[in-house]
Amino acid sequence: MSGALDGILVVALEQAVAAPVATARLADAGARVIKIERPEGDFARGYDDYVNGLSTYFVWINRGKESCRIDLKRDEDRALVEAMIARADVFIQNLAPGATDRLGLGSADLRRRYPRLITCDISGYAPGTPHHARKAYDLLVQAEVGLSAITGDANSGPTRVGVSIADIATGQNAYAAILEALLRRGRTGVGSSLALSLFDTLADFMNVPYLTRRYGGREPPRVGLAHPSIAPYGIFALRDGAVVISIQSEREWHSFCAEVLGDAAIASDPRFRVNVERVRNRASCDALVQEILGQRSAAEVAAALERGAIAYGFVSTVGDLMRHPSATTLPVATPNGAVEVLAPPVVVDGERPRLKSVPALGQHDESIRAEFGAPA
Amino acid sequence: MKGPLNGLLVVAIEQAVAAPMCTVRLADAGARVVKIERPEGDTARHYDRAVHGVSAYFAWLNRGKESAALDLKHEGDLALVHRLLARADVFVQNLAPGATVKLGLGSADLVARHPRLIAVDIVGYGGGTAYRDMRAYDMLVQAESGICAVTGTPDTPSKVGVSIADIATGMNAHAAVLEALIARGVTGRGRAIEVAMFDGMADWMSVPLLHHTYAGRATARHGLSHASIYPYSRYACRDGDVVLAVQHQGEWARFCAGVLGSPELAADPRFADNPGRVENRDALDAVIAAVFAGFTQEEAIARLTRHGIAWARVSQVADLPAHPALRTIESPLPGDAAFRVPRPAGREDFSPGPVPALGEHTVSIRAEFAA
Repeated sequence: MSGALDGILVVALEQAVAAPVATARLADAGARVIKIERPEGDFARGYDDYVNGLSTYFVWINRGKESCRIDLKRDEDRALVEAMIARADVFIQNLAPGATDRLGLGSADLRRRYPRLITCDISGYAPGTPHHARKAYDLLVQAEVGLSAITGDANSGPTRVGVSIADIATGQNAYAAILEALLRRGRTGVGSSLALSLFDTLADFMNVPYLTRRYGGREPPRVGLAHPSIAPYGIFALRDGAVVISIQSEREWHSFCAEVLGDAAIASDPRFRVNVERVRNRASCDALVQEILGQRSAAEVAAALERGAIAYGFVSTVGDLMRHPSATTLPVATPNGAVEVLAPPVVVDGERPRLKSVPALGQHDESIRAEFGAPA
Repeated sequence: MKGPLNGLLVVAIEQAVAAPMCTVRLADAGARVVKIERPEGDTARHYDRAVHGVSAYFAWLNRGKESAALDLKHEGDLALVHRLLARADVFVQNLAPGATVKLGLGSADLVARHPRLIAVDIVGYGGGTAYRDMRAYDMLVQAESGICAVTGTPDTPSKVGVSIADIATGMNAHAAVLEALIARGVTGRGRAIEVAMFDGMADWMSVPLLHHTYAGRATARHGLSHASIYPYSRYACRDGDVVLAVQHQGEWARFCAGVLGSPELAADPRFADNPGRVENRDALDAVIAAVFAGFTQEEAIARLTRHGIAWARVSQVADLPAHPALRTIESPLPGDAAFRVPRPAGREDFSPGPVPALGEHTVSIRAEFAA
C-alpha cells in the first residue's frame, strides 16, 4: 500500500522524544523525513545501548528517517538546511526556546519566505506564557501540571507516570496537527505555523480532574488501582500474580459470588448486598474477596471470570507484556540488525504497516549533500 | 479562520471517552459531527454533575457536536442511520465488540457499500487477537498493558491518574482519520480502520518493553523519581517541595557548585557519571536533601534558575486553574451556561461550539435525512 504522505518532505531539527515521535509517524505514513543531527548525533542515541548496541528510545522513534549530520555553526551547513527547507512541506523542531530564531530559522521568518511551509515548534511551556524559556523535561511537566498529584495511592505521595507521557503525547498531538495543516493547505494553498507544548498537552489530559476541582470543588484523591465509589474494584493478589476486577452492577456481583468466589450466599450478606453497602464495608468486602482469590491460580480465576461475564484484566509486568496475546510486534531493520518493536496502534484495511529502517548516524550525509548542496 | 474540515460529515455511534475524544477534535477542526446517542443518552452524561450540572467528561469531549437520540433497535431509526452514512465522510463507533456487525453497520460492509467512507472501529483489544471479546475499561487496559507495573512506588503498582488508555486511543483514532482523509484526496477511496486501546498503551510501553526484551532489564517503580536518570527527583524545602532534573555532566557540575555550594561533590567518584549517580541514589539523595531542607521553595527555585537547572513544583489539581502556563477557552453549555476548559493543544484563537443537550438535534436531523 502506498502511504498517505508519499511525496511529502519533512525536515526535522529534532532531538530526544517529542519531535521524533511526530516524525516517526509521518515517516510511517510515507513522508520522507530528513533528520538533521548535530555532528555527535541526537543525544537520544546515547541514552542506553540495550537494543543490539543501540538506544531503546532511538530505535523506537527513528525508523524510516534519513540522518544527515549538520554543524549549524558553519555557514555552508546552514545554507544546506535552508536549501532543504526551500523544498520542504513541513519543518519541525524541538530545540531550546529561541534557538531556531538565533539561527535565522525561526518559524515566522520561514513562513514569510515559504508561505506553503508548515512549521511546527515544540516547547515545554507555550510561547507567550511566563515559563516559556524554562527547561522542561518530561517528569517536570508531569509534576507541574498536577498529573503526579493524582497518580499513585494514598500512601505513596505524588507519583510519576512510568513512561514519558508528556513527550509522547505531545509528539502525537504534533503529528495530528501537521496532518490537519496538510489538509488545510490542500484547500487554501497556504501553510501554517504550529506551536505545541508539553504543558498544554498534559493540561488537556487533566480536564476531568481540573473540571471536577474547578466546578465541583473537590480535589481528586490518589486511589492507586482502586475506585472511590465502586466495590469491589481494583487489584487482588492471586496464588500466581494479580488480577484487576471491576464489579459494575448487582447482576455482576451475583454472578461474581457464584462463579468466581464459589459461594452464591455471599451476594445476600447484608453488608454486601448492594454497591452502596459494599463501598461502606469496603475493607471487609475486599478482605473476603482477597482471602478467596489468594488461594486460586490466575488460570482458574480467568476461567471463572469469563463464565461470570465479569470484566477483568491481569496486572502485567513488562515481561508479561512481551508475551501478551494481544501484543503485536513488527520487525524494524537497524544498523545492528533487525529488532522487534510494538506495532503502531492503527490497523488500516486489516493491515499493519511495513516499518522502515533506523538510520545510522550520518547514514545519508552524502546523498543529502549531493541532492541539496550548491552545484559544484 | 475556517476549519480545515469544514463541509465534512462525521457520524458517531459513541459513548464514554475514546470515540468522543476523536470526534471532538474533528469537530474542533470544523467537521460537522452527528453524535448518535441511545434514548437515555451517552453513559458519560451520567458520570457526575460537576460542571454546571453537566458531567466533567461529557463537557470536555462533546462540544460542537449535534446530538440525535435514536433507538437502533427500531427499524426506522436504523434506516435513518443508514441514510446519514450514505452522505457521511467518516463513521466512528465504540460499541461493544461485534455490536455494529449485528446491526449491519460493520466497518468492512460499510466501506464496501460506500467506497469513499472512512469507517473507524475503536476496540479494546485487536480483532485478530485472543483477547478480542474481553471487556476493556480504561483501568483494565492500563493494567494489562504493563503501564501500572512501571507506575507507582516500589511496593505498589498504580494506575495513571487520568484515563490514559481511552485518551491515547482517541488521539490515535483522530490522527488515523486525518491520514485517511489525506489518502482519500489522492485515491478517492476510504478505509476501514481499527484502533485498539491495548495497542495504544503497548506503543507507549515500547521503552520498558525493549529494555526487558533486549537487555533483560526491569523498569522499577520509583514514585516521583526517574528510573534511569539521576538526580531527577523531588526534594523537600522548608515550606514545600521542588522537583529538579540533572540530565548531563555540564548540569551536574553547575548543580554541585552553584546550587549545592559544593563544587568538590562533582568529583566524588560515586557520583562522577549518571550510572554512578543512579547506583548511589540513596547516598546522593542524603546530600541533596540536607541542603534543600535549608532553603525555602522560592530560594531553591531562584538558585536552580540562576544555574540553569530544570525544576518544577508539584502542583495539586487546585493549583492548576491558577497556573501561569495554563491557557483556557470558554466553552458553551446547553442553556446560557458556559465553562472554562484547557485550550486544545495546538489551537490558537479558537472558540468552540456548544456542548449539546441530549437529543437537541434529533428533530432537525430526522427532517434533513428523511427517507
